[in-house]
Amino acid sequence: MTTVAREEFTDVWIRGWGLWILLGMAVTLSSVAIGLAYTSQINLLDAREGLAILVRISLGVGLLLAAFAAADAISGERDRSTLECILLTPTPPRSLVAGKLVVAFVWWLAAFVVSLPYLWAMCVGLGGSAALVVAGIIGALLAVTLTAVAGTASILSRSNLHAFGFVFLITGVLAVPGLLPAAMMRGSIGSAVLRIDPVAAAQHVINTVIVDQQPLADVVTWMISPVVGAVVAVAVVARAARRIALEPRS
Amino acid sequence: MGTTLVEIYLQSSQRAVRLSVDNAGMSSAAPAVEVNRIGKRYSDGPPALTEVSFVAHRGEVTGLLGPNGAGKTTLIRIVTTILAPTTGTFDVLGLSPRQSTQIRAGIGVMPESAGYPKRKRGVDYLTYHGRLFGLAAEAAQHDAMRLLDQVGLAGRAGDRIGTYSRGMRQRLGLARALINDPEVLFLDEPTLGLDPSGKRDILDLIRQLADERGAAVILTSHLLDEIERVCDRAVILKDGVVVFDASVTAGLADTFLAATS
Repeated sequence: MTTVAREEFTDVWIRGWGLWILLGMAVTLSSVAIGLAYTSQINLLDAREGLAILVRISLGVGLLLAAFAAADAISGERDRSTLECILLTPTPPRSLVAGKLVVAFVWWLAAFVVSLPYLWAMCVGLGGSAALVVAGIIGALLAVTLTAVAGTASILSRSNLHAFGFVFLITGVLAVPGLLPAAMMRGSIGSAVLRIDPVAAAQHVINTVIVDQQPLADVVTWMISPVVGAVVAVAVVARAARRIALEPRS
Repeated sequence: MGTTLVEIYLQSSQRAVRLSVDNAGMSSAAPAVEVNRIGKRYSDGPPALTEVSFVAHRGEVTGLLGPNGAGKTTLIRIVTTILAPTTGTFDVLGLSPRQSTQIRAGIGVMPESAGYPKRKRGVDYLTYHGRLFGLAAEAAQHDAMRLLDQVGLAGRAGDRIGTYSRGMRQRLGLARALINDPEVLFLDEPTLGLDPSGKRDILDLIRQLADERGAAVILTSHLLDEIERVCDRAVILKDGVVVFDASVTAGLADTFLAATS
């Protein structure tokens, strides 16, 4: 696994566009943070709301980068006709997938590290270190989940287009419940959907801890679906990794 | 360059680390590759292979001939454990298909349609593949440079693969197939895209691999003169069926035309 991970890491961060993409993200986050800080200062937006928005943006960008990197892991090699030569080595398929997905996860980690100064700046005066901890925990769990889901899609897809399409779809489906107005998600069904959907549950935790200033212990049950989602997704991708094929079944 | 290339190869053919499959219990007289009644049917078409059988021995070059769509690439993918056969079985170096990891450790393959990462340097690409075969980093890099030298790419080792010509990529593919010092070598259209001089060099090297190191080489080609020049044995496939399997003799062209027309 370390051989594959090291090579992928070099491909992305030394030979590839990784650092440039992070630079672009840093510039974007700067603009957003300045905009949010200014909007808070003129009292159009509560400072904690602004912080929550920045947490969502920074996590969202990192998660998308990780998910799309994972989606490219195997189907990308298939598209570029480089998969056959890799499969012809005695490297176990699980090691191959694990190495690639670890580096995909690093996308999230790197994006989170880049966003930390902005989050920290927004936290000043709000005692917001809890926000950073929550963002880190929730982000890591979601990154594991999405990376594993996207990796599974990549293993089972005939092309990058299919894998990216699936990741785009699943990300949208998971994000929608948490973005709907609270009034629409009231009642037992709405509450159940929010608790089952790891992304929606994560958004609830962020809102509760950062905006409502409740202790993390109060929302610990909302962490169940992100944790379970991560465990299940990793189990699924580990199983799928045993069946990497040059051309997956229709 | 042909002679030089072969000489260099002979000088450096000793390897510190050599994968051994002798403990599989096979004698040196046993075929390196034995294919028994392999059949392959894809879900959306006619049979790609029907009851294909042949053997390949150490020290021999076996040529797989056939028109487009005859099933040559499918057959190689099956025997190299990339595809599962629908029927039949095979063993490579005395190992069954269930021991695919061990088989892959002992074979070298140059697929016909292999792609290459354009942003990687040639030496990095080979080193990475050496590492995937379990070589230590230093040994992998050393072997990568040695093989690049053997295939005439030493001067371009540090260049990105994206800048290589088609023929240079073929040479790189051959070097990659040799990175694990294989006992069986599968080459799918190895001279595709090479100029006459390059073809001669590669064919000489293939012959030397069989003669001097006792490797079993199985190569596919559309070109009869290539088969006649380097192969000891020819297996002609037509529509997934073996229509000829014998030692290469003069007049193979007539045999091929008669068998495939």
